[in-house]
Amino acid sequence: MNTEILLDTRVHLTPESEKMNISLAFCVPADAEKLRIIYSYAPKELAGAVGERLAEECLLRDAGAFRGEYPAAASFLPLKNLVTLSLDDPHGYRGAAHRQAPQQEHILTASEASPGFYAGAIAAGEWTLTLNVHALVTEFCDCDIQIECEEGEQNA
Amino acid sequence: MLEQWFACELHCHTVHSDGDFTVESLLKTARERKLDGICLTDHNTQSGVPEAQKAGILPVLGGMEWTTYFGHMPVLDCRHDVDWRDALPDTIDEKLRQVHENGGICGVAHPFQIGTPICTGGHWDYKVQDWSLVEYIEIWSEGSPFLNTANRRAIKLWESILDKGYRLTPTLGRDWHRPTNNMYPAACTYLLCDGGKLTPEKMKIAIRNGRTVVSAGPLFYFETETGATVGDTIAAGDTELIIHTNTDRADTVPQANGYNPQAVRIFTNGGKMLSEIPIDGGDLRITLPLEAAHWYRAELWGEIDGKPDCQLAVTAPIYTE
Repeated sequence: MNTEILLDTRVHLTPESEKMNISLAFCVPADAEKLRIIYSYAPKELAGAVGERLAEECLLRDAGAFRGEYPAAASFLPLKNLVTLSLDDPHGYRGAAHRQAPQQEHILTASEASPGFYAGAIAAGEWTLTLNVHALVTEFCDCDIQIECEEGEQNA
Repeated sequence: MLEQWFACELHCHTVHSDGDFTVESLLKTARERKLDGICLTDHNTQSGVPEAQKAGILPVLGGMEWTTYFGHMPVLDCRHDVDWRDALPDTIDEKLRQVHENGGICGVAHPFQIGTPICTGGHWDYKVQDWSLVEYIEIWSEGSPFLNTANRRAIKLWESILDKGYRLTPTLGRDWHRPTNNMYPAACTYLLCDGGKLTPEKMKIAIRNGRTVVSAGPLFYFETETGATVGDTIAAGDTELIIHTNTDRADTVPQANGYNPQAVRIFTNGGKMLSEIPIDGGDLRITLPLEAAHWYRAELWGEIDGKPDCQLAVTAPIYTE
């Protein structure tokens, strides 16, 4: 069984990245049987005075006149960065991993997939892994992505 | 086949997104709660749906909670995943149309949740132009429903859309991620469906047709002499409404609250309370002068565990021609 690294990259995010989709294309070779996605990002959390100010701004924006009915901003700390993964193969959407963990590992094969992803053919061609930047509260956040594939016996 | 009310939970998560429930533990917990059916609405994926539907524990209507940067929108029974990632506030109607072209229906989840970065994207910022493209809105989300500021604001938003002449089905979304109680144990959305075995398709039809009651537990609904009920359109004029209340199911849910229904309130356009009638068990009949092109909905008020002035249930509206 051959293992081939299809993508190995770091994406540097800043608060301006919030609400953006950052797509990373990678090419899956013929005879690929299994994809493995190894993902981590840091930092994850923001507390302290800056976090408290952001939480207060959020409460004022969304609670408006009802702000007084919610607790103090400090009770919402720490705030968290949330950068989720979603995946597309050459034919369409293959799911997402919408969860808080800043270290994740996912696999996909024809018959199995990690929770959130759709099992199915590991089709040759251009796939896209997308970083969905739901929240970016720290000065910066570095996301490390590695994608490997395992190829079938005929290539071994 | 006579129609029948089924207790359902329309907003559930599992390990396929950020829930603690496995698919199996969600379904078993739902069954313990005496629920008849659920919608599986994991964030941005339908990957848990095949397992849930094959399990044979409860009918499961498959869906996905679009967890976007500008709002959370449950999409149910959509044949093809429409891309949630490029949904934008000013052009959301186009996405709603695409969901409908694929057979799906759309809801608004917890519209007044505090949003990014506290609960990312949780606040509804979409500018829907044509509300006929949205089937339902969660008027109760997690928390003690009637005390919750966000839920009270959601009811006002819902009424403002009804006032524009749109039909919008009210639902409860427990936003269920784990077994711990985040709402009254027996709380649910009751769906009025064709009787017999409940199916996902029947659940979808009930939501689409406005045949729902949002409840802390009691089953509570009204009908006319001729059997018209919530979601239906009837002629204006003096109309007798027969109002039913029972806690048969709610009382059997483990750790059920104690319910003491005490009053029915009828609301109409502008959020105006038309009538408040005390009740003392059993059915109630009231004749109301219904105006043309209006909506009328009922609320049940009373005690929960001895606590007074609790909102126990909210029906979908009946509409007049």
